[in-house]
Amino acid sequence: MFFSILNVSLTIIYLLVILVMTLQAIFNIRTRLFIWEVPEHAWLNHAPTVYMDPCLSFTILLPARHEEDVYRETIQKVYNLNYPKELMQIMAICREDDPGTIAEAQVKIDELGDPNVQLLIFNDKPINKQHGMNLALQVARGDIVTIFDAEDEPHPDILNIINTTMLKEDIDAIQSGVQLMNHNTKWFCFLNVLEYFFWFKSSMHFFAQVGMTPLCGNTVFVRRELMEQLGGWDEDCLTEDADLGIRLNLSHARVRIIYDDEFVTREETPPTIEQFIKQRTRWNQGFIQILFKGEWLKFEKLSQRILAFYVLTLPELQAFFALMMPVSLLMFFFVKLPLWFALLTFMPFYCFILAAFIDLAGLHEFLKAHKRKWSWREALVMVLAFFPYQWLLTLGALRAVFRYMQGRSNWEKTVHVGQHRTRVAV
Amino acid sequence: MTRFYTQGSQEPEQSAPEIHVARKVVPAKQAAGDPASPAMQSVFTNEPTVPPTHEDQSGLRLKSFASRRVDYLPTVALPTPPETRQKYEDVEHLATAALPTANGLSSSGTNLDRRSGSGSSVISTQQQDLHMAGSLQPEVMRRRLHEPEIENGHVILYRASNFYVRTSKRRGQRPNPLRKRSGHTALVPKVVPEQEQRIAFSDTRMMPQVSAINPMKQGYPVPLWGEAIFVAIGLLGALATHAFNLFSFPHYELDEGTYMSSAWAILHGMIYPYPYGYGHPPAGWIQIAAWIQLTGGFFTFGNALNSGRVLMLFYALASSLLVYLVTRRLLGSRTTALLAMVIFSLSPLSIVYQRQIFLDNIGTFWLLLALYLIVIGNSRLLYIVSAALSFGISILSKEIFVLFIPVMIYALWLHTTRFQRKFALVAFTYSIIAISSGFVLMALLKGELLPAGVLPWDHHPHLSMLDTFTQQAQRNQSEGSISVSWIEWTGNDKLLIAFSIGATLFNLILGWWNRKHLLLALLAITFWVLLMRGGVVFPFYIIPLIPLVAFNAAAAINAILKLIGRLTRFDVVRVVLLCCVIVAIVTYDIKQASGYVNQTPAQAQTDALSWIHNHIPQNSVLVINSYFYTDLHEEGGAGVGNGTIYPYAHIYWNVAYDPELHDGLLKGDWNRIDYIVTDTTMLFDIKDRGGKMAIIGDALNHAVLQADFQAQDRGQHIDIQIYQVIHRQNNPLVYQGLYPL
Repeated sequence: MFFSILNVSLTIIYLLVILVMTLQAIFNIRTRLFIWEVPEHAWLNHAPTVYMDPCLSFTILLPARHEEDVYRETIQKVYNLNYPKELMQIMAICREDDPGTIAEAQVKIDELGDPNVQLLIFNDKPINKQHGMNLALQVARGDIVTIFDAEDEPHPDILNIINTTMLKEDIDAIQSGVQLMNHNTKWFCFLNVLEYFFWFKSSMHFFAQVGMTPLCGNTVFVRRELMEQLGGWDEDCLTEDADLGIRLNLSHARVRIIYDDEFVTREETPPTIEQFIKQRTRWNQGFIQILFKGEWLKFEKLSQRILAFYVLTLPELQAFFALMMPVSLLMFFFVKLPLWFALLTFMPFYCFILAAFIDLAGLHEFLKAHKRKWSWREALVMVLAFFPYQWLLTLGALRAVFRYMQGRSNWEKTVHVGQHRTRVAV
Repeated sequence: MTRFYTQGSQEPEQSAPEIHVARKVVPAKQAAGDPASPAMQSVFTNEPTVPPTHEDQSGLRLKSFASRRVDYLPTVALPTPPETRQKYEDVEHLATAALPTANGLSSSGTNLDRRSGSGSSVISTQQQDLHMAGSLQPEVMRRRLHEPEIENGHVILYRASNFYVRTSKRRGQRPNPLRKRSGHTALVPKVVPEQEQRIAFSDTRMMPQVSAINPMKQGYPVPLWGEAIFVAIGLLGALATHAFNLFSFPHYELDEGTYMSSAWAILHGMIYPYPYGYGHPPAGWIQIAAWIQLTGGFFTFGNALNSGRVLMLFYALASSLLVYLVTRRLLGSRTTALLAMVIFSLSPLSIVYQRQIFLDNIGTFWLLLALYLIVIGNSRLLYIVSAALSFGISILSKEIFVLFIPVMIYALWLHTTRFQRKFALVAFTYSIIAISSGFVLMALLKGELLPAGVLPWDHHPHLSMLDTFTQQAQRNQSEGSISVSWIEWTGNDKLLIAFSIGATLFNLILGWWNRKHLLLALLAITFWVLLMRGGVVFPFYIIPLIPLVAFNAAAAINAILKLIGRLTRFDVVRVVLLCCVIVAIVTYDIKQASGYVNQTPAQAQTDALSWIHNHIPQNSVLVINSYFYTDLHEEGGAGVGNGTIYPYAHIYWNVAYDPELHDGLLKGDWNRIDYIVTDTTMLFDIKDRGGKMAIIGDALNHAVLQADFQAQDRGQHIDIQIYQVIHRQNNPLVYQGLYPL
């Protein structure tokens, strides 16, 4: 008697889990394909082709820590952006206990000799990027504040585009595209690159339509007064960018997403699996922090709250599903299920295969957009990497939960080696 | 005060920063509650020409960057303690040297001019100024606070308790003498001249390609209700011709009975009344079962097959409407759409075949729905995925629709914008394949994909999908030849067959220039390939071809008449000619069909059924054809009334070839058969095939004819004969009708 009740309840729970998995997979596919849903969406990602005269001024923050290898180039690249120098204030941000990076920055600043290229050195806690940026915000003069990371390669015309867009449309913040460029250096790079590709090209527009946009940490352009009114960045949160996005939405700021393949800021993937997992752990932990901070509960519409909850818990949800897979395999072989039930349990599997095909199509699109060669061998590697990649993400999510429970929230910095730079410099 | 690094080179500085800079910082610093700002404010209030108000600042601030160079450096907000002031080694020009004049900033500007350009003199005057500053009034003292702090060649712009900001010093730059803030003007943003020399970094880019192949065209502005009236008339005509004599003509075919009995099996928890052989996917009869549930049982319309025929009537009407809508959107002309609908619904072939319970009718409906969704979708992903779902159901209703996958992909390719094409194609193709694979998955899960014995753990004999497929592929023309079917088709509707060849070729050729015509031609050609492949072809296989021919014919006629219309420069001519064509076709069809729609061949079968009900005991072993199965196995029907069912009424094919019946029920002995209800084809099969069928053949040889029902169905003679088997003696069990299963 008890056993049959247990049986029935387990069956119902299993069925519910399958249903949620299928729904999540279909929703995931929907957000990934959002930009290709209707022909009109083609204009969403279209950057202006005619620039207005430079009018708005920018404060560009370049926070860095232990970035001796790449920092000089970064400052030079940002300085070389096609925009009048008088309208640019470039602030390199370092901490006092990082003499190497400070030296690099100073050498470059001296070389440039422009008083608008400035170096901010701070010496107190917390030792993280947000604190430096908040301090820089106090001396920022430009109309628009933006951030570029040490490994970034912004497109030279990006400031013109932002200037034109801000002048033409009445918006408060723009998230421009970020793209990882080294798609084939390691086996997990393909999927990592495509993750960014779909996220910025498509999913972000869906989020913008709903009104809940978790922003990215760089190439985000916010009006300085708005930034100041919002109180700067959250210094305790590991993913201050997502937090900023949510707070922007809560204050009804108009946020615009632009991902034009040509104008993306180029970045690189983490060089090793270990670094990758650390990066994901940091992001997931940040999301958990934001989740428990509870700001997202203040959204007005239910759809926004649900979407916020979904995005913030997605890594853990995907980890749970990835762990369910061996369980369902076991059940398939050892438990006798009615035919319709067994057919249903295959639905998430079908959705995953569809996601794999969409990833292949996305890879082709990415290579075409950046004029790279298609290689069947690489496509095969990507298909084989699909499930191992999910396990990597699972590891990151589990590690994040573990660390959160332990209360450890130090910043595990990602190492940057400029993998993408040597490529593009050719 | 925390310590800071001192480093870097020291350079003599020629440039002349001014104290005006402090004003710029005021707005931002005000917000931060800067303690020095009141001090700064007070400095400026001494001069009448200074506009230090915060509000003005915000208006000017935007433009403040429009200067040619940064003439100002943001200064220190906090007062630096005296000791650090002594650390100056290389002091910038002090605008405080303008002290002698009480005019303040404007004169300090002129002083700047005087000072700039001379290196050592600057320094000496600066040193003088320092001394002068020492004895200055308090306001001047405070003005000195805004000098930029310099440390080891780096200018410290801002200093707070926990951070400071520094930069490099400017290299020799003369400030523009015109840039003196008087405060009475608003700065107009200047276009910085160097912008023309700025080379655009990006290449010329193409606009996203979002034009669709087939935007909605509007001919004469006919109101929607007007169009609806014509469509309704057409549908009524279709309804009239299809519903006329629905239950009596044509006779109930073998396949119709099979599918109704399969629907019966679904409603009783099985996939098929007998062991399922994966000959057809079950979605077709699942839909019939759903219909039965919806209409409250099998016998709402008479006997079981009648309710199936009513469902087919609805599918035919819906398909007719879809034909109209697809043609309307694809070709843009309402009259042409009407023509297509007429060809589709009123063709004698349609009138005969579309009322019978064939899976082809169901599959055709879903195919047309898929085509409709693609064509009106305007390249929207929701429609595209719905079309894929619909087409998947079509394939799951009848597997031959798999053939249409390439041409449907082509249809999608034409109807999506270039921008979406890649992902739309991926989603569409995958959805179709995923849904169709559900059939294979079902076989896999039941362990019946591969024949028994192939897999190591598979020992018991069972039907398998692979076996069935090989069997189907090997069916040759002896069962149903193309020539027999051809005669049947042309006998019924020469015009349609002529269209199917002529119009298709015409569209194929025209398709070189117009891709829509090519699509229609390819649709028809795909199906002709199936019919001509050299395998078994039954006359009702033409069903999916009928709407495709309607499309092709309408498109071809429209193209020709459009040419004529263009020659005469009146499009009305085209419309009028089309109407004439419609009338001609209608008359032809009515004439052709009127010959036999008055016949009632199914009456013979219905009469036979009631005879069985009246004369045959319930527990007899009956060998029947499939069209009686449902009525004899379901309570409340014409064959059963309110009595109990006939549990041992079995279809002859299964009696012969299903071991459970041949060896299980009958134990290989013809004696156990009580009654045989035959028709012409059944008799032919029994006598001709031999082998396992001999059990029935033997029983027939020992049987006596009890009842005979005859009717005429077009050229075919229907003859239902009911035989009672005369049993051998010494088998008293016969009369008790008790048989162990």
